[in-house]
Amino acid sequence: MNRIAERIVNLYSFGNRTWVTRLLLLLPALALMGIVYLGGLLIFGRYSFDMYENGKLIRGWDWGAYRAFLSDPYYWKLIGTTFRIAFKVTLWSLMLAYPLAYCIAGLKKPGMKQLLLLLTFLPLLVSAVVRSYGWQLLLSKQGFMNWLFIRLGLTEEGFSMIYNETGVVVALVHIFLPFMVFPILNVLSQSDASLKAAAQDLGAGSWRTFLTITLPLSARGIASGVQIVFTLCLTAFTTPQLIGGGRVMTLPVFIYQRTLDTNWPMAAVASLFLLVSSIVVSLLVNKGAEMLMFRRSRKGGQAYG
Amino acid sequence: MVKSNRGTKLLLYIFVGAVAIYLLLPLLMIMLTSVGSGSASKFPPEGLTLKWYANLSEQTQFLAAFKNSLIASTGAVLLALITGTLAALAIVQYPFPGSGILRGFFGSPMVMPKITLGIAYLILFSKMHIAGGLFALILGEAVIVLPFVLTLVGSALANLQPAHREAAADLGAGPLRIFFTITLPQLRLSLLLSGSIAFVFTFDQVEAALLLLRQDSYTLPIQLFLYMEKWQDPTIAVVSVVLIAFALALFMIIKLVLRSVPGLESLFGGRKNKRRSGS
Repeated sequence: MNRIAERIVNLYSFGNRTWVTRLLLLLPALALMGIVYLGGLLIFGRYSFDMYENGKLIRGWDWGAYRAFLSDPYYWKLIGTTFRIAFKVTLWSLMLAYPLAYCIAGLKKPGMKQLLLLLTFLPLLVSAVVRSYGWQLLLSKQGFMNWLFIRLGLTEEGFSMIYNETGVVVALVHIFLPFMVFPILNVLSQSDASLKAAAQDLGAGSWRTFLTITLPLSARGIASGVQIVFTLCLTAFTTPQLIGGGRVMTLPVFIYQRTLDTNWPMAAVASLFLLVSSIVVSLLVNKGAEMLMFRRSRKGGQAYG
Repeated sequence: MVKSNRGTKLLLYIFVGAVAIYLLLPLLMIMLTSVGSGSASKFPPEGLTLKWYANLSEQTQFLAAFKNSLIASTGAVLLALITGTLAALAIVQYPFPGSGILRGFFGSPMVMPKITLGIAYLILFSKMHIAGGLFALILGEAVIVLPFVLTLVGSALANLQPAHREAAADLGAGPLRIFFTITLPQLRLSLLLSGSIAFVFTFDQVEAALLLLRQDSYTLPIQLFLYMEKWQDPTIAVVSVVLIAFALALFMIIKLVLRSVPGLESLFGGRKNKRRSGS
């Protein structure tokens, strides 16, 4: 009897305390996120309604920066460059990452597998600044790539690959490749090997097996890889700034420069645009992948029926 | 496994080899440049020398920057681990209406463009009169890495057996005692994992720190970034080599830790493969 009563008391007081416990547990994170993150963003957002004239900030409520950003063709060119680079980098990293992930997933020797995994993920541990420096050395006028191209007789004077879009794309693919390999590898190594075996028992060749079994099964991995790489590219700053040398103007580089000359309204509007577009891209890629997979599964169903 | 024809397989291996070279080339180039005697951007280098390594010992700003980086990253990771673990406990163990929204809010710094956050921090911390120092950076970076902690610790918490906690409670342990003797030991691994991911991530942050810091509190990536914009002598290659060695050491440590925990290696495909070939 006594013990049951004690339990009831325990239960009751526990129930009473949960609100307090919960609040105490959440308090540190709420304080940090509320003040630093939300506070910072709100103040920053507030600046998007200020005016900037002749190098001076004027407090106010004005849509001037929004209007300028959306109507001036200069900004649309900027947006175009940013999206074009992100698109190119995503495409290239997908083309390089898929075979790499496929190869790693299919390897049976653990040693070889470990080595390839190390090669893929080592660059991730090295600072983006360091890797950009490496590409600057490789791509410069008298650098290794041009030395190689001249030796091979592809060019006589050497290509200019630095301080332009080509260089930025080459370096960005290098920096974001692991983010494409990982989700694809994850899906490929989880997929059921018996499906492939079944397809081959039914007489499908290796290419057909790949196209009808492996590739559709990895759609999810490809979608999340594309999502990650594309949004990372849209917001990449270090590499475009260093390899572009100020001559490749992307949105993050532009935002940085506007901050340096304290044009905070314009920086805020461009940042907002960047944020919204990366969210929209994520949603679109997700939707696209879902639709693709849905259509495939329906087709499969019809084949059985 | 799959029989595929020889030619395709060979082609695949050649392609993967080329990708591997592409991945390694910049790092190799940096190593070569660090011991080359001419100007940094010229290939092939004219001769071999260790003078840039000697030069590094005179560049005290890099050592100071390295120290700043260590302080800032450690501080930010600890702050994120503490606040993130407590918040994850509240969200997972005492769920309440709206906890999903809170989780989304705490996770949202992940999608926020880092350059935006950097500027927002600059404005906020200037108003609070703490901009320029490492303390401001620690606060700002902690926000950026909080999502890693919340995701990893949160999913580990969700996988814990409530029976263990209930048993402890039945035996008379208070909530604090349950947390320290039952929950925390079981979270060890995800704390370590999210901590190391967060550490690697903050150590490399440029955007948030570039605008925020004063010259005497520059972190290593910022120091390198600004040095690279101004000069390009091989000293920076030497610093990079040191950083690459540091990264390699870190990778080995993480790998050793992972090896000691069996369930986790399947994340990298290693163990699963072994088991399959064994059966």
